[in-house]
Amino acid sequence: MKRILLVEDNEMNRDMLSRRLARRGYDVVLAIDGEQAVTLTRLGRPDLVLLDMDLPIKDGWSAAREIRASGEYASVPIIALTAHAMSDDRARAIEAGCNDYETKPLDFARLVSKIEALIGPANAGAPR
Amino acid sequence: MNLQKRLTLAIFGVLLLFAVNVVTFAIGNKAIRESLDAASDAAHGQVNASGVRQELDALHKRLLVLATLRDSVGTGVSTAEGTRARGDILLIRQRIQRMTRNTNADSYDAYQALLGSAELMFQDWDRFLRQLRDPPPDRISIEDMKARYAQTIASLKDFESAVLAVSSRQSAQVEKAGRIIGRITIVVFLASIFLTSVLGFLLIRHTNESLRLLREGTVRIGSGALEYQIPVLSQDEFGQLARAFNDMAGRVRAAVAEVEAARRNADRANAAKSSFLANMSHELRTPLNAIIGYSEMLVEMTADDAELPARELSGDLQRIHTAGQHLLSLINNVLDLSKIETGKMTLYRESFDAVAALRELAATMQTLATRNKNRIEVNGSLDRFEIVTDQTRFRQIFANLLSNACKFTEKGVVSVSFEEFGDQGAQWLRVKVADTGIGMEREQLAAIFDAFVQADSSTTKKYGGTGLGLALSRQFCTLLGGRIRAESEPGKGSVFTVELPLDALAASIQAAPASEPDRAAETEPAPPVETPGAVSNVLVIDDDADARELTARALRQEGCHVWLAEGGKQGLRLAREHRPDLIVLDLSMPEMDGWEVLSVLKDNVETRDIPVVLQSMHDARDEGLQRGAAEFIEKPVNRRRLAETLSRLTPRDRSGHVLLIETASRMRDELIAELGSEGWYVSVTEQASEALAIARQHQPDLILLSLELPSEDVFSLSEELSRHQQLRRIPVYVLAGAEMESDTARRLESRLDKLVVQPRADIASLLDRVAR
Repeated sequence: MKRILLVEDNEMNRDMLSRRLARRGYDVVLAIDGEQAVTLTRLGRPDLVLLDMDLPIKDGWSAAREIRASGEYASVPIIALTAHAMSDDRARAIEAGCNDYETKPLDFARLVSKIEALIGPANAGAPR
Repeated sequence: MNLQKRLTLAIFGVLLLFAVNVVTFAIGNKAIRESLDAASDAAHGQVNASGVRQELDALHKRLLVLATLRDSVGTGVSTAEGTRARGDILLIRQRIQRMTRNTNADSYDAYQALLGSAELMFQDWDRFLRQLRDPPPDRISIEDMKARYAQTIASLKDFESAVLAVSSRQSAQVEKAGRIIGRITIVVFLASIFLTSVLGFLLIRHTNESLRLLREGTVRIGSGALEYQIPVLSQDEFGQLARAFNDMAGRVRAAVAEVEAARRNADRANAAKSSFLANMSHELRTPLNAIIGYSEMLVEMTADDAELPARELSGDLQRIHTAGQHLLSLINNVLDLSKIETGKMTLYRESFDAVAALRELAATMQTLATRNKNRIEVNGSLDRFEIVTDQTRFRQIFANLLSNACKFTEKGVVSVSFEEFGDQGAQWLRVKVADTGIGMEREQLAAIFDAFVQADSSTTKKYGGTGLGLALSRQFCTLLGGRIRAESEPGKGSVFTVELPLDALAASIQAAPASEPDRAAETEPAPPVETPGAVSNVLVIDDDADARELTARALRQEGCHVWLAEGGKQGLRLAREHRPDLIVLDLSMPEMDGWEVLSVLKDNVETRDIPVVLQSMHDARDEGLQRGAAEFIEKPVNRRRLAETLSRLTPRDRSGHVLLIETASRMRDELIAELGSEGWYVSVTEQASEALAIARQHQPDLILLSLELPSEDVFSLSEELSRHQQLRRIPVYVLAGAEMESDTARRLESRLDKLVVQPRADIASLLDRVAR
């Protein structure tokens, strides 16, 4: 089963997104700030990280850079999520090392297709 | 020294030199003349002396001849000769005496010596002449006479040489004086020329230099170097001009700095607005993400499992609802701020217990407080504090302060304390909201009340919010005639102090519309049937408070909602804002009289169609009707006459606004159609929350509420309506099935002032009543 680390500080959005991903058959690990994101990337070995950019303690950009500079798990795909819809946010996210970028409110289908493009579909037979 | 003084001084100096010249010349001239006089005296003396000498010589010779004759002839000398000679002696003596005129101090001694020796000689000669016939032994000898003569001549020669010396000395003096005068004249003349040229040169140089500096300075200042200071060389006109230029540059500099500052402020405000928009976008997207996400998920879940019990969905639905509410409050905040900024915020005066309101607010904040493990304390010595102000805004102010305090504090205490105090002869309420949270730096503190500014942008990320709450709180405080201030220390917490007047009688706050009938309804509830259906909104404009109240009372008795305006300006504003169905306008008012108000009303597209009833002590019917008034009523107001006019001018088939809250059904559609055909404008919704939004925004004339909605929704809606001063007055007709439970009716009745329970079956009679 593919494992996704979801980093999101907003409780409601975290709950919603994690449940929707779980329904798609992904194993979802949760983190609520940038520091946890880095730690859990190291410990949880996710196949992909969904990273909110506006995070307490350490923001998404710093977390992404840290993950990219870390060595063995540096190549984990990261999709940035942000409620900022300014055009330069995307560039900033890519520059920080993210593979892709999605704007809130999320187009879930598009997000899933992006996830699948990066790590393939969740294991067949997982509960939908 | 100024230029004029300098020039005057220079001319004076030159004149002084000339004066010196003239004086020197006069003195010299006098000396020369005196010397010349002396010299001429001396010359005359010489001439006289030589004349005297010749005459003496001739006489002496004659006397010698006479003596010789006497000695040789004896007595033969005639006495006539002697007499003649004596006459000559007298003449010569006089002539010598006259020579005293030709003497001066230098020749005086010589002249005296001459006089002495001449006198002796003349005495000898006189004796000689008288003794011509005397015997020889007594005679004066010729030798004696010669000796005397020689002596006299010697004296005469001495005198002559003395006079000559005087004469030559004087002419030498004349020469010397002439030389000196000439020299002095030349020197003074040269000095004058020199002085004049030096002064001229200095003047020209100073003028040129000053002009050069002025020109340079103006060019530099003109090219934008406003901080440049023209050097002030002197205190003269040029100096004054330079200083004037410097002053001007200074003033221009200040003005430019002001403009610059204004521009920077505008830029800052603009940047703040841009960042606010970006933040807003972020803030709106976050709850939208939850709403869309959850609802999509629910659609998926229900599609996957048709049998899924609705109970399992309620948690997610609640989340969607919460996110939606959050979104709504964000939007409302922005709208409120925009209303305040454009001056469109309307306030209502109402009397309520501030202490109870604060306690209630604290209670509702409890949930938020416990989230961060905070405790809310309410301290105050007052049990009750009746305040007259806008209740909604009052609550908003403290809701903002309390939620901020709860948000920025963890495991701490949020305390609300209040006290009464007097200031400037009025009673005030002071409320302090204190927390033990993160606090703020001094710089942050300075900006927290500005719109669009949060303590810093990282705060937004950590704590959320639009940065509008405090800006709104401050604006509301100001609108309510009060003030707000904040004190804080980083890490220790913040204290917000709000001070509000006991009675906000500020002109900007109008009396709550129709508050009186409301209160009357509270004390003695009228039978529902008597409640008028579609009521008229009437604006009364009159400067006389008694007359205004009299008219208003009459109108209220006719079931009208009445707005009151104390003058033309307020009246026009209210007319534009509320578009009343009728305006009652007093003609004689200070500042802006009724005619003026009437013409503005009739010129304005928004108010042109509102009928205006003029009131005055004096008959002005014809003129009034000519100018566009609908009716004229003479004061004092006759109630019946007013009622007649009212019913004539506000026909009931006007398009009123009804809000229908009912689930979709065939019956609903029929009702909408019927209401429409009766001329009503109908808003329809199935949602209690949407109904509230519509009611707030449009303030319908009537609400039709179906009891088929979930009862919790019905109660929460009635709760919200009752809390709102403006909404509470809207009559609510509850469309109930025949079997409406009596306790439901009671619960609703306790909240709503104007509640009519209408059996659903009897819609026809409802419409009938509503139409009335």
